[in-house]
Amino acid sequence: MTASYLTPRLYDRLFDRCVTENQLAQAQIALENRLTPAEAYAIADHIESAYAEGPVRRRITWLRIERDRRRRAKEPIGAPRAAPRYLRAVQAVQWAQGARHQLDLSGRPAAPIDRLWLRGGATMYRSRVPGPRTLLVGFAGNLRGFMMPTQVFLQFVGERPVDVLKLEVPRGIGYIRGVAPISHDFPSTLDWLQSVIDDGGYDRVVTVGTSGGGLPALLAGSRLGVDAAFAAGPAAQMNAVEMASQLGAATVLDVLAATPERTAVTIAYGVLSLRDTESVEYLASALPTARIVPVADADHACLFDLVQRRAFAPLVATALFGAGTPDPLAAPGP
Amino acid sequence: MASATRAEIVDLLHACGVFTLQEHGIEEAFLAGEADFPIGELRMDSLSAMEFCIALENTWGLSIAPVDVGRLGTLDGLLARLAGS
Repeated sequence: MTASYLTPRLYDRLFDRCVTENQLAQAQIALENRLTPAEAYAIADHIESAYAEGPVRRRITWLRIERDRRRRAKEPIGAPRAAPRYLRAVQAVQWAQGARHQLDLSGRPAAPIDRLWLRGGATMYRSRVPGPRTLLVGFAGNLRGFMMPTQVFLQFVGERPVDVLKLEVPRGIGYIRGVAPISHDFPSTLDWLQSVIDDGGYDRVVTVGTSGGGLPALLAGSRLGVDAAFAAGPAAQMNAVEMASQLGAATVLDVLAATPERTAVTIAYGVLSLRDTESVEYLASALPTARIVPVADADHACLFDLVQRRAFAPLVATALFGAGTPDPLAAPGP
Repeated sequence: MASATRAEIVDLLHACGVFTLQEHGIEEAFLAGEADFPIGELRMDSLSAMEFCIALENTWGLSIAPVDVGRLGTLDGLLARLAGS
């Protein structure tokens, strides 16, 4: 187990380096793509104690903060302007409160899960829960990993004996060029995953993908013959021709149609996204036994909506871990 | 130059999970400079807006808070600002 380097001290250093509010937001998003639940709680604790005190000590009231924010909003749009330190401190505290709230939505204490190793675009997290282990291979999309901060996703899966292998690729490129520095295309990624599975002696293997990672998760699930494959808001068109070609198939539908019967496939999407609705219709045409989960009143980032509605945990249980609970969601299908 | 920036904006919107132009069937027309769209009607959630603003600041040095994205007007208006930045 590696010692955590994502500590409150690191947050302080990042905070001091950021001059504008957008820079701080970017640093916080970068952290959210890495943190474990315990790290996130520790940083939130630190921010709420250390950063909230400054404005209070200096008698900076919410009235002044709101007044200054309104004034800044009226300024002409233009070159980046430095934000006063106290405004960034307020931003930090709001972020910390949001991070804590999102983790608390699981209704459980911090999941006992640690970052085990990091190799370029691949990060392995391992829960400390003993028992027959599940390997969860996550194909992150362009947008904030799994449609939610990584620590929130880990909070919902990490109380089980699970290893979470999170894969990321540069924005806009997708998985056709592999996961640097581990692989150079999609088939070599699958070969590497097979070696991870073989070496790990796992009881179960599941694939998860969101947005641009959705189709790769379904294709990997089919080719690796995993126990469950789950996609949310999959981009059916993204690199589909190249993906199929790399896998030696005419279309991605041919690969999906060959998914083993033992692989339980689930696809979720927000019904407000026409693009995702069409994508799911297309993919489901090759997956007649797939469970389709339309998420009512949700757009592309539908999983985060489920977290906020406290409906994500039951979906994780049924789609990834084989629990036989009834579908907690209801909305008209495509 | 202008068409390259249009393509960058479309890529950025996709990266932020915003596909509204595609859904309205005007993405190609926008890329060709034949269609415009109000930024406030792009259906960005707060996190998408944040990513959008971060990219505007990092790439073009244009600073705006996520809550004020609607003040940018239309995509053509944004392009005009970027051309001047």
